[in-house]
Amino acid sequence: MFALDRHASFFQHSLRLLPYHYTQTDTTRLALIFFCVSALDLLGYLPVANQECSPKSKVTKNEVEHWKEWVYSTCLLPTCDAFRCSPATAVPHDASTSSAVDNDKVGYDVGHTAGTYFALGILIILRDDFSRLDRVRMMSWLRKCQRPDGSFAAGVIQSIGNESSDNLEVYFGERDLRFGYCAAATRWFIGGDILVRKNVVQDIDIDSVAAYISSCVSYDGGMAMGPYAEGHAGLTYCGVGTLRLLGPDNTKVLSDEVVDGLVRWSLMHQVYAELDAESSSESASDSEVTSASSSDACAQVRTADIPAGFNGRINKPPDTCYSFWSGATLEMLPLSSSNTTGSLGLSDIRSNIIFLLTQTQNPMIGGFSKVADTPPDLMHAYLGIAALALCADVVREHRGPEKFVKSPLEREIIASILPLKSIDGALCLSTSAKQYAEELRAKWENE
Amino acid sequence: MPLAYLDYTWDDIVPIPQDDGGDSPLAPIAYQDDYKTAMEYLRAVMSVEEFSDRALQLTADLIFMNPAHYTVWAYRARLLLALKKDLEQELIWIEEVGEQFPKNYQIWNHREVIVDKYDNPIRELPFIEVMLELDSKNYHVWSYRQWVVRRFDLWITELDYTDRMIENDVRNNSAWNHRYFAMFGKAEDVARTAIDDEIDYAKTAILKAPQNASAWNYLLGVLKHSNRSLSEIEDFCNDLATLPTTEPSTDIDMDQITSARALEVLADIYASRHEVEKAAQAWTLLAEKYDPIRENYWKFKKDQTIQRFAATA
Repeated sequence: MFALDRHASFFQHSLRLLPYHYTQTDTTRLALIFFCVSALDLLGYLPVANQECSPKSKVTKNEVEHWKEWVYSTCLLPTCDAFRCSPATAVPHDASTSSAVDNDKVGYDVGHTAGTYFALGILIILRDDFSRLDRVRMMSWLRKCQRPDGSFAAGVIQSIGNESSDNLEVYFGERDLRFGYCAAATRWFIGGDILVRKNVVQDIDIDSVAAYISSCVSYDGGMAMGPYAEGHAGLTYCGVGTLRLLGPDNTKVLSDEVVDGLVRWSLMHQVYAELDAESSSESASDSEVTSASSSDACAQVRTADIPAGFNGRINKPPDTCYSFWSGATLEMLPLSSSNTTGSLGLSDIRSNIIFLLTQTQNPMIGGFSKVADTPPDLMHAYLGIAALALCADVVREHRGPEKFVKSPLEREIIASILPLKSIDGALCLSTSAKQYAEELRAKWENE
Repeated sequence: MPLAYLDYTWDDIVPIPQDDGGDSPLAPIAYQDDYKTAMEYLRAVMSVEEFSDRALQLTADLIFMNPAHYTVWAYRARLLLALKKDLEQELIWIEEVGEQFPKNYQIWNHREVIVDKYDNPIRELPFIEVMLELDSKNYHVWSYRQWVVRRFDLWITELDYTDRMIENDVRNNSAWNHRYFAMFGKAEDVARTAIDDEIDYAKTAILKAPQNASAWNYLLGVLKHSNRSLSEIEDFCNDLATLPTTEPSTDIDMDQITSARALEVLADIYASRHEVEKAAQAWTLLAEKYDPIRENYWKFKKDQTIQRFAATA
């Protein structure tokens, strides 16, 4: 069963204090907070406008206000155009401006594309109106984060002091599809496209983003961190999500053949929880592998009734987070114009739900772990919930669990996830939060 | 063990404590004191970008406590260059960090910056090899290897290397991917005979493990890259997946399928030749028998194809 209340207390506790082993995520603390806040939203534990809130929730409206205030006061840069990813990287403002402009030295207390995406996501979920942001400057900052090849850096460190024409600027962060996704989501959240249409700001270079993403399609049909790198489900999500968030026309950058390949590739990543043991024994004794033993593998699959999650790369074991990365990728890839869950219904929803609930859910303390028999962590806990929310949308689209169950007991198990709110795969937050963001965008459109 | 940065004098520095936003911070981390103090000194030296040996040592100590600290790496790279440090020593140090934190992202970016300045790949392939022994599918390491190969034009050894890795584990998809890079990443024309060799190589691997998606993807990828037809492998697929001549049967003896992928490829070949019934038969077998996890997908493919041909008929 889906341990909804246990999960809610797991995230509520995490917001109060995290054990020291989270130190290795210290500089991405906003991500951890996003996981907690967005999970509580999907679980129906947030007292925000027009949303049902569980009577068991301990979150008060005052706390929600405090959380917004906290995100702004600890992570928004004084320039109001970007967020840090954590209070840990902040330096008091006077320390960075007291020294004279020195073009040989750089300041490190700068905006981060992931921090900005997570901050905006948290604020949207909490129904903030972004009136404290300088959205125009934020778009200029995004432009600065884009590399000439179209990819995005995590951010730019630049000369201490301001507005000198020969400022030293250095990109930081790895070159892959993650920060481009964060930039595209940021642009959507702040209505960057609307500002561009109104000729208030210049846009990021969308053609080069699209070209970079296309160059990441690997020979097996997935997307990788760069040309010729190995296809990876997390990066595939980022690439597809970026195109989706940049506007409906941009998914057409990918040919039908590439889109079909992505659907197939994502579906192929659904694997049985026990298949990995079978495959490693096969590879351990290559010379012994005959067609007979492989047909055994086929026969085993045929009769197996075991849980099946998703892996991130071919021939790896299933892992909680890929139920979201691949699930959301499929949700974003259209099947026909008539459904909202895209190609996700082509996967085995039942086996995926059962994988998450029986293999990686921790029903005692709440949360989900990466793989079975390990302690839960916030990222996998959130993505497990988000993946189940995607599944719940498919189940609702088919008017309930009947189509998905193989036994009467399963009906109850699958029905247990239905209290989860609907989710938007591309933004990775609830549909209701997205609708609120759309209202803001409509307001800006009419300004 | 006391941290090495404390061997330096810090009396002139006012540590900058973390501003965690008042009494009820969100998701505060129960830092250990060593980390908390080191971060306070880091903020102080980073805020004025102090270039000094003590700052360099501080970055090293902090990286061991939190290797994912994203700006400390950028600071360290600038320190090394500003202080004109011996870059080989830095490479040796990175190797220690890498072996301790094999899953870390940032180290590879840093190593790239340093090796690029050092302009000598002598330590790279041996270090990569050590890392791949720890985890033969380490994504960052394989990506870094591609960068090294391109940057220093080291293509010549790569095919043999992937051969060795695939020999160790025929299901190592990272090694197969690297093989594709080694073949085609140089953007030069590849001789037809070399392509033939690769097709044979993949077929041999498939015969060892007929369900192995890595080898199949490689085979199909090579064919596609060389604009060669799928029908070239039709006989090969037939050997691995023989369709029953009558209606699809649930009796396992009636069809001989040792590879679901062979069946899928056959379906695609049949569909491309407008042999809709045979294609539908293959998809039905996949849906009902050999790949039921993707039952909906195979049925979708079947229905889509039947409808398409019905519309054009």
